[in-house]
Amino acid sequence: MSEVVSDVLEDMVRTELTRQATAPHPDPDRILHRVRVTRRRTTTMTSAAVMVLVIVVGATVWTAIPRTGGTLPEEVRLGQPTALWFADPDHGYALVDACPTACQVWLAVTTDGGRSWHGRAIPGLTAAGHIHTAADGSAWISGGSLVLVSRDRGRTWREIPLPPGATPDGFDTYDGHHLYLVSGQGLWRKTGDDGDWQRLDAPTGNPLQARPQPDGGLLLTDPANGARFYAPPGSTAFQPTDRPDLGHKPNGARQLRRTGPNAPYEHSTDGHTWTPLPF
Amino acid sequence: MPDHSFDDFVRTSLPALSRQANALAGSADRGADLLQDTLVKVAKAWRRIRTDEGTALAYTRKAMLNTYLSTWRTLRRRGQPVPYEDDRPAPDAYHTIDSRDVLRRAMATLPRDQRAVLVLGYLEDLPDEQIAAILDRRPATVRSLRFRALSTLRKHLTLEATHV
Repeated sequence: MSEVVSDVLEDMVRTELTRQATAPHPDPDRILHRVRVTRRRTTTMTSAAVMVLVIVVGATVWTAIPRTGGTLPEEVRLGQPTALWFADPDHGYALVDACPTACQVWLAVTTDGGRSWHGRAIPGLTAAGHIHTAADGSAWISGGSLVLVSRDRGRTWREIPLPPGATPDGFDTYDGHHLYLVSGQGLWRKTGDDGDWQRLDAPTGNPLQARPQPDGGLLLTDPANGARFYAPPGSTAFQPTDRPDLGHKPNGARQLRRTGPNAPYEHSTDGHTWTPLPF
Repeated sequence: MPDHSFDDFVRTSLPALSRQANALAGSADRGADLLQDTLVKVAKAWRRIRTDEGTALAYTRKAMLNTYLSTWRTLRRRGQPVPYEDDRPAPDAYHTIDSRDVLRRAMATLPRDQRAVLVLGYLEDLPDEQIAAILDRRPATVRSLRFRALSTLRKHLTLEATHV
């Protein structure tokens, strides 16, 4: 037999399939039992998998975000003055490192006015950074290639993505909502933690000093000639300005000014109404 | 009050379902496994499909074909391949290995979509158009799959005939 004729082959296939199909049927009770066991096992395994997933994701977030409560290494030092900020008389934050032994930066937190400190290493931050609190109470760390924000008084921190090619050197915010990056690479503004960075048009090619304002705008000052430019929130263009309410140094939720070398300090919440400090 | 309608459906439909499962899987054991996997899926959807027995049976048949053709199930259930020569009965005990044995072994090597076409065509006597609708293929594809399946079987049978 060199080749099987087609009709014969089809008959053989039909016969064989019928023979296999008429193999003894399984016992219905046994099949039903197997179905129930399989469903229970599947449900258990699915629940277990979900629990494992939740634990893994939770642990990842838990370890990725620096939290308070850890022990700081010995011999740490404050990187620079701007790495210390007290949100109120009891709660303060500091960025410390043990360079040159270990140039990992730790976030140190105190809740007793600075008598004791504890903290956690900040993943990815190995250079001195800055820390400050915005008017809305949020705390901000910028340094290395990171900008981190905490909106729960330092308990948890999340990273703010930066625009491509930008460094966090010129990061600043006044209100904690309008975020600014001002550097040699350009000017950017971002509204809210999850918004996109929007590029702003630089008014001049000179290096500029930037100061976010209480209304969410940005004031730029050209140190070469004292010219001032202002872009309100929502605008990408800067206009020359001589508004007297702009440019005062913010101290937390207040602005501070002094009208002369020996004049008393005054504070204001809006830059328009000023109240002398009684000391 | 427990719902016994699924159990009743399984008891009533088991002969028809087992017949298709055995033909697709090629043996009673693997057929029972296929039936079990299918019924697990059907049990999950039972509240939705238990409108009447005909609907449930059609749904289960379709689910069985999908389960059989599922790549995931193929990988999960794939056994350890055994070389044909090692698995071959000793010639002195089974001197007259007939064409049926060769055919059965050859059918076990067919791709699942080809075997499904053979089962639906030669066991269920369905026309190509209906097979195509069930398998979500074109009728021409069904004919092509059958042609390739029969060619493979013919090749095995011819090869075996030349060796005997």
